[in-house]
Amino acid sequence: MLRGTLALMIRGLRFDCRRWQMHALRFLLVAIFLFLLFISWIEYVVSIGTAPGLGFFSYITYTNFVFITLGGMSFFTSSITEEKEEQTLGLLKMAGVNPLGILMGKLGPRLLNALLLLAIQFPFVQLAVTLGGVHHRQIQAVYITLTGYILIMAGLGVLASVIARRTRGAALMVSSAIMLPLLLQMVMAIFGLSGATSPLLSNAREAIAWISIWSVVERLGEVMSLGFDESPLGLQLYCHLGGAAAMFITSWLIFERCTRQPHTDAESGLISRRVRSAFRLRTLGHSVLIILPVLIVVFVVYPFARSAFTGVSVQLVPTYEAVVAVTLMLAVGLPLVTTLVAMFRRQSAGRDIGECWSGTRSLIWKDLHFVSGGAGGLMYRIVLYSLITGLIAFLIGYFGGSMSYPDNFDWSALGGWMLGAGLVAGTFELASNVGRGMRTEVQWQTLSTLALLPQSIRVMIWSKLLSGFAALIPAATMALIGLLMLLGPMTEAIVDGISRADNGFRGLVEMLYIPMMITLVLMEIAVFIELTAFFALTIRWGYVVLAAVCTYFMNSIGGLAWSMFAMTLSFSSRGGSSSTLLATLMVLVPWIVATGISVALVIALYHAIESRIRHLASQS
Amino acid sequence: MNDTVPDSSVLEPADGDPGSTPPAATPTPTPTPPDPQLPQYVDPEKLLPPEDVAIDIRNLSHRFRNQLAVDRVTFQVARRSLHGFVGPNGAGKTTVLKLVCTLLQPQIGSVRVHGNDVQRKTKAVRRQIGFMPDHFSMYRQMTVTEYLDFFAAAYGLSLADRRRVIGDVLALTDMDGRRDSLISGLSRGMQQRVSLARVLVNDPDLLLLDEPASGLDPRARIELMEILRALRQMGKTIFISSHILSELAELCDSVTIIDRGQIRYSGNMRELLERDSDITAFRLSVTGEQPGLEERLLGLDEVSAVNRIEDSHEYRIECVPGAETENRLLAAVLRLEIPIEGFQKDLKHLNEAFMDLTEQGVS
Repeated sequence: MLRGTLALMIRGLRFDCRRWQMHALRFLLVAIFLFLLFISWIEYVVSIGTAPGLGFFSYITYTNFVFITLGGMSFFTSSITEEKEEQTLGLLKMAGVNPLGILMGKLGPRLLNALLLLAIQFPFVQLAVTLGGVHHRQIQAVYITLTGYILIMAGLGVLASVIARRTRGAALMVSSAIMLPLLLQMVMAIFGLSGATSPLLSNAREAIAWISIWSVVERLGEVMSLGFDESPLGLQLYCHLGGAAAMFITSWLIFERCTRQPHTDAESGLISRRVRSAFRLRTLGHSVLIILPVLIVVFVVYPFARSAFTGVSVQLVPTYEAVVAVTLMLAVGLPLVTTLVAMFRRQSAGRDIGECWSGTRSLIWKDLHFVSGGAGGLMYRIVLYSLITGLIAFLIGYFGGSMSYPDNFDWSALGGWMLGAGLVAGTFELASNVGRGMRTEVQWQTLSTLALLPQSIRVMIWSKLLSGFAALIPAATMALIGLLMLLGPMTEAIVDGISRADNGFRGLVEMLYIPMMITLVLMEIAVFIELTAFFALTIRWGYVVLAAVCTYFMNSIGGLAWSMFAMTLSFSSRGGSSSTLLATLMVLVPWIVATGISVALVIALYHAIESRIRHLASQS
Repeated sequence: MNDTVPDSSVLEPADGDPGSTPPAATPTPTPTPPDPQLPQYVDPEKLLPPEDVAIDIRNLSHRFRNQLAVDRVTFQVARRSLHGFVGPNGAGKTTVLKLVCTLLQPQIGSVRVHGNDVQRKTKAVRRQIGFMPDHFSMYRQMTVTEYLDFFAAAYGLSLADRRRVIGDVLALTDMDGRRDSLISGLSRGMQQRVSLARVLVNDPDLLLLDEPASGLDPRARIELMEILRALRQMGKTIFISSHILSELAELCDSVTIIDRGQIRYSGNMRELLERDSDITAFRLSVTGEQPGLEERLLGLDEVSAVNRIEDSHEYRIECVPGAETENRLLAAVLRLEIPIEGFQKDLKHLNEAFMDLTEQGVS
């Protein structure tokens, strides 16, 4: 067993050494550390931070935390699934490597790489002690906590990798395991449940806090607080070690069961074929048209029905209940109606011919159906977003105090949440769909075939983007409904802004401030989407995460530059320059620079994607 | 051999390069070519008229970083011909194919498809060609019909045309019974057929096939060759790269042999198999055991040597070269009154020609 494990580990380490992406990742980490050192120095110079060492060390600590979290979602989750995807797991088993050997051999190099990345920082962060504000014991405690965190993330990643058939599924599992407790904590915090007196709720809150990754943040904060003088080995380390061992053993025990039948494309293909055959876009469109009037009727009739059944006065029926009823009706009713419509649809031989949209739109059709899930995927998203809307309405209504049908409801709060959730989910969904669209072409080696179609590479890129937008219809609808709910408050704010603004240049800038910021956010989203597409053509997994990290990093640099510019301007204005002019410059100049850089990035990335596709098409 | 196919034997190997000149390749003594783009080893007299040329490659070179993949390649492929493209691994076959099908841009030299320069008229060239790569470039989650419908739609075919064309190509490739099957569930041979059907949906005049028979079982290979023959009869030009030399020898009208990025031979297949042979040999098959036949054959005036092919009733007869040797020998053999099953000229195998023209080792 040992020989097989060692062979696998050596192969993994050699493979990592040859991949430029791994070196790029290390370089990125070094760049981030230097940047953090620079920020600490700036803070020290402008006397914001009193202990530059502590500032520097805090930045590094939390950056490590973010990297480990993202690594858990992508780096460890591919350990076994990559063998499943390449159908080489059977070969490993036939070579006599047992499950434990495979697990150790596959996870080992990744874990070693992650721990080495952490270990090489250790001598450098001692600089924080010299800069002041941090004790050696704190550094040790932080790195021990982070080591424990790496181990538990590795355990979680390998468990998901054993269970899931594909890396994407494993990453989704780990993300859900990380996000769900966090979301529950957020919900509890937002709606004031943290101080709940019910013992059941209190225990649940504690349990959630314990399994949430927020507990790691809290532990790190505790270690970095002034006067920390405890043992570096906290209870959390033992829990993480125990958890990691438990997950690794579970992975070992279920390994055979989960990998007995190798996954084939044909199996998943047959399922998606059946779904595709039953739910077509036209069928879904008809179903939506059928169910829309029903939803309106449910919203109007609900209070009366409730009143009739319970005897409560119509005026006292909470409005949120009607909203929840509508969303539940949509979530349950739409699949039912679509199934019924599909059953009555005329079936004809050779019906597949003519389904594809003609000409340039054929590329959009392909990606919409075979990357974004087609009508089935759209229906799934409609159900998901309607359930989310229902949950938000319930939370706002239930914890928001008394409100009755139909007027007394905080529509703007619901609208704000819907708009926010729709925008965030939509952005990530778009990035994911565009990235997957690119990745699958590389994976299936179809770029050469596509490149020979009469359509240009640019048309191909735009088609992938448009198919991503087409799949966004549910998220966009949610955001649009949210925006409509916010229309009243927004109009009031705009009118107020216009009336308050004086007639000068500053007034104009004030009036344009919100559109300027919206433009900047949109540009940032465009950069994020393009980065995802580019990374999808370059790396095999984790492209959305990497794009998110890069966007965040660029955003941080931009924010810092903006602050420094503002500070410099404030210092230089001590001579008595006009405050109005300075305030205007503080907004306008950075905005022009940031927008300019964003536009340049969007154009450069667009060309980089085009050139990369051309290169890959000629190589495949 | 299709008699209507114009003769495309225009090239001889590069002169003055001892390492690359095949042993028996005699460079045609030619005057200075009038076309400055034409290499010296090309006989301008043998160039095809433009209307008969499907692919015209002149002085083509392509480099990948430090590796010169294609080195001053010049050859032509005649319209409506089945032209084989042979070479060892890493010889530059796929690079030439990608340059012809516009996936790569020529760095030096030119490539014309039906008179259109691939760099200047890329879109026009793409409409005229169908390229089948050496790997499965397919959407495995699609059904056969969905896959073909997608490509037909991408080429802008109307719905009626799509129905007709897809039906036709499925019938031609004998995949009609599997039209609703998922591509991922098909065997390798069937996937290759679907790939060929995809190449045909836009009815291209020129098919570029890169190792279409690799990995196929014998039956699938024979069936694929039958389809290619049918396509040639439909008037398509087929430029096929393959390692299966025996089948290429039977199938192709003309052939180009490339080694280490340089052309070793380009021309008529029969000429390749007949050339370099200073001995005229024939193959005689007889029914059953014929004792003393070897001696009787040796006794004929026209025969210089006789070898019996091991474990068979076949004899390889070498003749004294002369006028009408074939007729004279056949008449003499008939006079022996033996039960003859077959009598044909003993051509060199393509394998032998290939081994003669290419060098040992990988480039």
